[in-house]
Amino acid sequence: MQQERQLVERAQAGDASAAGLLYESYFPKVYRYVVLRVGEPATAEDITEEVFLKMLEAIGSFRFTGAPFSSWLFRIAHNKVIDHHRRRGKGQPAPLDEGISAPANADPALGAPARFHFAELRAALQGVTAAQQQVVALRFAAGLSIAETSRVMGRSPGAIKALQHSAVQALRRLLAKRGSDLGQTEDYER
Amino acid sequence: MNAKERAQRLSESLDALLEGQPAAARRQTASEADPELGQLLQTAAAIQRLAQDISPRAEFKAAARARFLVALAQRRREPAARRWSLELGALHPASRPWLSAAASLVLLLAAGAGTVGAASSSLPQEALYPVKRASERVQGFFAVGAEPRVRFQLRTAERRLQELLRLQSGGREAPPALFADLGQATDRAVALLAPLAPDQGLQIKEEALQKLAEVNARRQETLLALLARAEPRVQASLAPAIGSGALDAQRVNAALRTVQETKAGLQVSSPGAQVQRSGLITRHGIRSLVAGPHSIRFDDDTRLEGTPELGQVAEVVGVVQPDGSILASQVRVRPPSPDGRAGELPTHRVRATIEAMEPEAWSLDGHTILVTANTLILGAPAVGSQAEFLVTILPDGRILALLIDAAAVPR
Repeated sequence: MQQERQLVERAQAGDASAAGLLYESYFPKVYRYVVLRVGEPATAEDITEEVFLKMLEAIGSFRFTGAPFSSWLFRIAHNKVIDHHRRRGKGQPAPLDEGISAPANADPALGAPARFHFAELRAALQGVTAAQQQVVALRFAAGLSIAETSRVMGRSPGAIKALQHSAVQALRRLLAKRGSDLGQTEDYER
Repeated sequence: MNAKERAQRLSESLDALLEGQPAAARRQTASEADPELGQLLQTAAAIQRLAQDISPRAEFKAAARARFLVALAQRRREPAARRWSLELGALHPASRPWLSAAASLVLLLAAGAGTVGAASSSLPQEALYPVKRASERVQGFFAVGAEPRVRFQLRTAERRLQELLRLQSGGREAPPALFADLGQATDRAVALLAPLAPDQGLQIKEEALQKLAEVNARRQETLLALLARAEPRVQASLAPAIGSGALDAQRVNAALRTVQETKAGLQVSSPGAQVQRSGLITRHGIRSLVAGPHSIRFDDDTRLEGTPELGQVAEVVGVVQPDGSILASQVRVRPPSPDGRAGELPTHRVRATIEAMEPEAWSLDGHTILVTANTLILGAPAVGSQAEFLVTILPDGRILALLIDAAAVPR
């Protein structure tokens, strides 16, 4: 944490290598978060870039007042995702399973079975609330802690735990209903 | 164990998992002797593992990093030459696409603002024309997002057309590459518009397609004017460009028509109305598909006859939703009609040379066509050979091959 604080302060002072290290450290996490929120890899790529350009633009205004840098960055990512939904004109999240059959839109970094599971997960996510989607994306895709997630979402840690619990419960039920084997067997040890 | 306690235990086990300690997570859940908690952790672990496996494409990663570094460099206000030597040296060699743009930027920095300004009015085969094109590559490189990219391709098409018009009015012959560049800009704009579903981004799509249609119309007028006064030798070289322009115009007009019909359809179909629609399937997922201009959704009560596949026709009965999509009660999937019509879309028979054969996209005389599992292939098509193609233009402007007949063209 202390090391990150130093990096952020150096980046604020105009140290490009510090900004580069922050970028390298958060880029995959932000991408994973965004792709789970918007569903379409091509859109996720655009949004991820916008997040980091915004980070550069606004990093000078970030202050350490107790909230970690990650919460601030993912708040930007969250706002960009919301902007994207607004731009689509309906204020609703995109259909998460659209485009999964189109090779140009599929995530080439996933193998075929994982891609299939990813499509199932995206479809199941459509059946949970926006807040539950948000907590799943922040905790599981971005790997944020309860405290960090709580800062991004502006809710208490207890509320985040409850939300996470209800999201996992709902997803388990929805995945089972779809006949998916994702998360239905004991295979969580790598 | 009540829900609050279970949420707390799940969170603790998940923290152990996120810290890379699955065994600890498992022990923790097992010690609670709560089967439901164990099941929830299984699901959470599977989701977490799947989500952690997602990674951005290597090409995107490299290009995004390059753009980030450029943005960073612009903020630092250091001397341009030093900035670039540092950053180009630091980047991964696999990043070819942005490297050319970066090299262009260095060239432009070296050329200076006055040169770049003077180059903007240059024409093909003039000394400053490469500077103009390098400047365009840099602009294209910094166009991030679907809308800016489409606008960039439109501006490019417009520039190429202006060059063609100026060459024509000056009585000079246009190089063949200029026609290819013009077609390529149209192709790219249409391809960028394609991922937007028909009921989304309608305004952007309509404006962009209208502009493209305008550019295409003027392009064809110019080419026909050139043809009318050209010598027979030049006439022969103009013919492919005119044919290609006509196909581009058809694609753009078909896409524009679809967008306008969708707009009209969205206006008249009020939410809650029971409707019957059909159209060629251009996109499908587990719970949704796009058939013609319609976004269709399924739920557990949807009766599905047949398997939705790209290029098949879907006949749908359902109810219009507040967002304009249709929640289907019944979907019947059938192959396109064999009488030369693909759903409601007209088909075209063209003869072309195959330039490249990727698994799902082939290049023909500068155009990209989709080849799917439903495309019937006769004979043995090969790169460099000619074949006859029965194609249809999808509502988003992409070209779908229904039939490829390599045997129809003697070798």
